[in-house]
Amino acid sequence: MRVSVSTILTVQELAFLARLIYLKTADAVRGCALSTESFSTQGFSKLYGSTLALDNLTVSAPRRAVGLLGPNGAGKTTLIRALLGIISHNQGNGTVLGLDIKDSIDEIRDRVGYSPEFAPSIPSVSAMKYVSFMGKLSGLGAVEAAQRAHDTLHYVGLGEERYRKLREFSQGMMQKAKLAAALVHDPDLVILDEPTDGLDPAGRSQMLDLIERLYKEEGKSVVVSSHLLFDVERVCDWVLVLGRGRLIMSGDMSEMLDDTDGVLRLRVAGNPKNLIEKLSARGLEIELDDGNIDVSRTEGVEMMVLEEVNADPNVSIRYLGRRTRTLEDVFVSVVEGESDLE
Amino acid sequence: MTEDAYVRRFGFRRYEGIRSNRISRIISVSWFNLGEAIRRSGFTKMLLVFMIIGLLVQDLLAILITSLVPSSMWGDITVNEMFRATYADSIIGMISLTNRVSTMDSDMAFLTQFLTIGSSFMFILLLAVVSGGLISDDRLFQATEAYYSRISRFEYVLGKLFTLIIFSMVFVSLPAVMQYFLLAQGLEVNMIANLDLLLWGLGTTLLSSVVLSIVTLAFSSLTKRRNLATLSFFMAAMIMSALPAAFGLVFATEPTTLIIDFVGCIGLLAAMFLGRSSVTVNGQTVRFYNGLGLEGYMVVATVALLVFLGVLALVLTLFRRDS
Repeated sequence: MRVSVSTILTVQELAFLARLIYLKTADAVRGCALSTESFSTQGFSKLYGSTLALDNLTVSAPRRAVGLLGPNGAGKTTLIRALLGIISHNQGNGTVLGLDIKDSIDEIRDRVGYSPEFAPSIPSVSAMKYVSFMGKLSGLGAVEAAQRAHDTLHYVGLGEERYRKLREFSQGMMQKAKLAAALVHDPDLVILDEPTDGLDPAGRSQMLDLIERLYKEEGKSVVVSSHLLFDVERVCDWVLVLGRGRLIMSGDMSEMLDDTDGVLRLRVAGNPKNLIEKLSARGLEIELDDGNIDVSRTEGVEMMVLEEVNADPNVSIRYLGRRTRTLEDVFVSVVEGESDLE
Repeated sequence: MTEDAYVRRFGFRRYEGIRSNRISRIISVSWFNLGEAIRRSGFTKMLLVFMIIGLLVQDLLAILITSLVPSSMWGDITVNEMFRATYADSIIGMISLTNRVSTMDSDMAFLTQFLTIGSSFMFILLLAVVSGGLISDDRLFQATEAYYSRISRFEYVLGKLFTLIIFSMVFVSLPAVMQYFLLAQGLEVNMIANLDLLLWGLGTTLLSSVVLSIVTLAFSSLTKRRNLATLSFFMAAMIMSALPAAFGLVFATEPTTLIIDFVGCIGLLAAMFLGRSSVTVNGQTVRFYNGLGLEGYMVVATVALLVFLGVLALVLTLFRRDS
């Protein structure tokens, strides 16, 4: 049966489609939608007086949840501020969402939501007014900014407190208000500098949930700058490690946490004493790590371990697989290798 | 309904509209800051009420004086000339603080001296109070970071400057226009024929607004304490304005020292724009082009220096590379 287009699409739907095509085309022309990078720099340097904060930094971060790690003074905040044009850099090139920071800084600012490390605020205004004003600064109309301020404040969990003045906010509430301000103009990339700083465990967990949701459910690219490794490990899937203004390491989080030594990790319920003796007797190198039994990988090691576990009535297997490291292990090993980082 | 479900109801909507242009954002900064500067202080609101009452009284005084003073006292000047002189004195009086600047001859200047009382003092005080926290508060609470991540530093400064210019214009330019119509109506002179005077009034008040806004903003940018910024600007304006009168009493010479009255110099410059080669200041005649004492170019240089220093302070504090 032949069906003409007009019978399927109403005028409004056609108008919507036309608008969608226009927006996508505009995005494509600007290069943002096509870019697969959150940001990148080439030979990027920044001097504060005689102190080199960023040292010929060449780095690239994909449009994912990126953790920006490094000890204090590593250059994390300087990099973010330079990418947003808040401070100027001395040499090198940089792009954010595929846009050059020299030529398109206004557009970059419109497409990036930034939550600074400290709490910038106008204490005498309500959260609603503050977030709405930030929306207007990012180019939203007055009505749209107010509507989106309502939405984002609800989204971050400040719906009930949105008419309270910022001076009355606790640190946790202020972190959420900062996040709402960073999200109000619907950015493609959200940059959060120390988003869990000063939060209690419950507040920290809530904030990490929010960041995770932003990335996984709302499809935003996220950059989380933090010195709290656990936070980055929980919400990010790509890591950049900076030290003394240089790139120390970057890569996929899961690959980074995989143990490249090829050690097999075994966890059992029950008393493992006999099992350990038997595995040692079969010539396997055994190491105990906080209740886990790490076995050096050799030919057919998995089968040998399974046979011994099955033969031992005192234990039952809980986990058998590759040993993974924590981000802290990775970070410590990197920092140990670079003695001048701290 | 769980809290989580409640939060999820407000999910993200994609923004597909067109973002406003840069000028709209500068205006957003201006309106927001103007509203907040007035709203948050009861003292500011009280001063505003006094200012409005003062302006109304000044308007009424101008009409009453020119209507009630017998024409025999005017000498040989016409009603139209009286209108122009009274209006000019009133406008200059709005912006010249303690020194009484009159475009009339010294023996006639007493007629309009009443007009200069109060409103310029109130205007400077209000300007100091409103401007004090404009930049200093942002620096104290680190709100500049939030601004700079969305707009450029230049747009930020322009937005703050427009806050003060809009404020100043409402409290000097608008009354200037009202006074023109009220005075012309009261003295029954031809409004159209004297339109140049209205334009001069608007130009003068605009010049005053812009110059003083730059200076007050500079004071605000130099510190993180709003009270210090307010007090230092107000004291500087008042002391500089009062000193020439004090020197004049001691030395009794032509008041060259008027050039240190940076607020009053804007009034003197306005008189020069009106084509006057001499004015009466505190009852003493000052000639701009006689090669002695206070010269016209010195007045221009003072106002230019004022603008330069204001801009320099803003550049040094807000446009430094690493700030």
